[in-house]
Amino acid sequence: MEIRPILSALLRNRTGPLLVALQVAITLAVLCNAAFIVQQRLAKMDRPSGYDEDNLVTLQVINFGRLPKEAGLAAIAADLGALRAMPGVVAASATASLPMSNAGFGWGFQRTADANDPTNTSASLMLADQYGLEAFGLQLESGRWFTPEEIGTAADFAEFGATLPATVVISRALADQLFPDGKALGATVYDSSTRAPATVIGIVERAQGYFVNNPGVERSAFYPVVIASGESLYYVIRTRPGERAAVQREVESALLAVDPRRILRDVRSFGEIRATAYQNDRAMTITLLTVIALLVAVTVLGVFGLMSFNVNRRRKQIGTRRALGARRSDVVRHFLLEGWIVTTAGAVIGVALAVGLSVWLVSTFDLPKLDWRYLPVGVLALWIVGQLAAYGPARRAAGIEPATATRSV
Amino acid sequence: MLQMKGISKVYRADVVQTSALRDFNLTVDEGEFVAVTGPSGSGKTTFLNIAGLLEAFDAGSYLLDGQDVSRLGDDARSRIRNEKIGFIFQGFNLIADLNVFDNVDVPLRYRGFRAAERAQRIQRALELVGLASRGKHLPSQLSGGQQQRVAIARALAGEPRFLLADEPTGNLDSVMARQVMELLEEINGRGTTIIMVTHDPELARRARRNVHMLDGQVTDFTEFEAAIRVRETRAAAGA
Repeated sequence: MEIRPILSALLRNRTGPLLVALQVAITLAVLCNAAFIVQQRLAKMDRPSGYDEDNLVTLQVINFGRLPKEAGLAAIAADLGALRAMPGVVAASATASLPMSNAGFGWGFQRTADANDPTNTSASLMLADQYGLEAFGLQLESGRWFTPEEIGTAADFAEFGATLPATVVISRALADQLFPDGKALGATVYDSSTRAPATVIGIVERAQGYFVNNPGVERSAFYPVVIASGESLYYVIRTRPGERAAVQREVESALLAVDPRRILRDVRSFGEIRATAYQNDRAMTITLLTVIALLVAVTVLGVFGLMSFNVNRRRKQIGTRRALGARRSDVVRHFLLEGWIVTTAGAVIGVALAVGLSVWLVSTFDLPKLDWRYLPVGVLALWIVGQLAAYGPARRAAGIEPATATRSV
Repeated sequence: MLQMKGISKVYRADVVQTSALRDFNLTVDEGEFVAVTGPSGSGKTTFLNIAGLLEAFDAGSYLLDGQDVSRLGDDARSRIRNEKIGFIFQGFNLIADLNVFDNVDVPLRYRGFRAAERAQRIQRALELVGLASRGKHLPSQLSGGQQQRVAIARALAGEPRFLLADEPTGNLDSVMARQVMELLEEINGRGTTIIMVTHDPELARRARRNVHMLDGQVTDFTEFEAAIRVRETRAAAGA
């Protein structure tokens, strides 16, 4: 290997190589951390929600004024009847807010009625009727869903808060948090503010809550309640596969046919809700990928420029090397090796920078610590990029004729 | 050792064609010290390039060490250059960023010798040219004569069958030029065939054989000698 003489030659003309090495180092530091963050965001956006997202349509109903309890319940029943009668609809249910919408109730549950129970755990509280399981497309892991008899009604949220139901269905994540021993089904849990008890009658495999940026998004609970006032009323409609778009188009007409004196808004697929929920993550991902692409492009240009400069500067030297017996492949190897040395020097500095940047990100933005496996992958990526960038100039160098050695210009 | 018959070389640039060698014939035997002289543009450097396999020719035949080299590929030509030919250039052609040791090492690395053998050869070659103690010096830290001696060491380290020298003293003062010539004579005395291109008649006289070139061909050397004598006579008369 010719590393030593190439290295000593580089050190004698160190400014250019040093600048390119620093460029590689900065690229590696940003690349590793940005790629790690991107991977985390992608994994976050790719999490299953537990709902039959492909076949869900949701909308909000806004009434003109508050409805009396009985009238409100009757209106909801009429709407749900009309929705279920629509072609392509499998199930429809009323709820007070939509999961992953960044709006809803955070609720505390604990294993005892003790005011200082350390098991107190926050969760997203969702309200559902007897059709909720089917309408959301949830997977019941154990136990059962609510019977019609268990569905309570409340005139408004104040009444709901005063008369909490006696049964609850919780997500697997909440069950595991409250009952690490695995004995959640049939157990009693307590509302942490009123200490009202409720029996866990079912556990759903997964049901993401309201706030996707909350680490506890997987913890959720369903109470069997319908709020009559229409203060916050959403319908969740599940369709047969392939019929969501048609139902989404027709749903407003169907509901306005029941009662035209209200506003229907945000008729959306669940995919749209998901897209809105993760729009910041998506924007961050695109931004970081753009930064990575730009930095890599600048690094490619840096290595390419340095190598091109070196080839042009050393035409006579290359001709001399060829005259002394270097094959074209030897010349290519020489410049690839030179590019590799510069890239590797940058990578060594870059690894330290990447770790430093990660420490700063962890302490400043409370991000997870950089997975060390990103470092060798990043180094490998920059080696490849560096070699590709050096290959063109190296090929050009190999094309220099040995007779260049005897030419005076 | 070297046998060229009917070699021709034409350089083409756009619509202009320049015939650098025309029906060029030359035979050099093993152990000879041949000086190739001629005015500028006579084709000396083209001859040297072709003899050293630095460039191809258009017609004719060329046997080097008994091997027809006219149809060899680039790698094979590189190998022959590396193993059989040593080059000494007018401008020394040392690599400025490498020290003396590494400069002499360049052809040996392409030869694939192991580090220990390379070190041994480099040491021997530098001792031969009297620069064994300057291995760590950069070319810029040496005089022109010393640089040319390093170039000679580089040419000799691979123990080539013959040396091709292109105006080896062209960039040196007279004292250094004499030292380099003495070194070349010593190397030739050890059996290495040397072909030296020069336009200096004094140096040419020190070679065992002179070949004069004019318009891409070998001419009768007696004409060249006569021309030199005329010039020297005029110079003496002027003085």
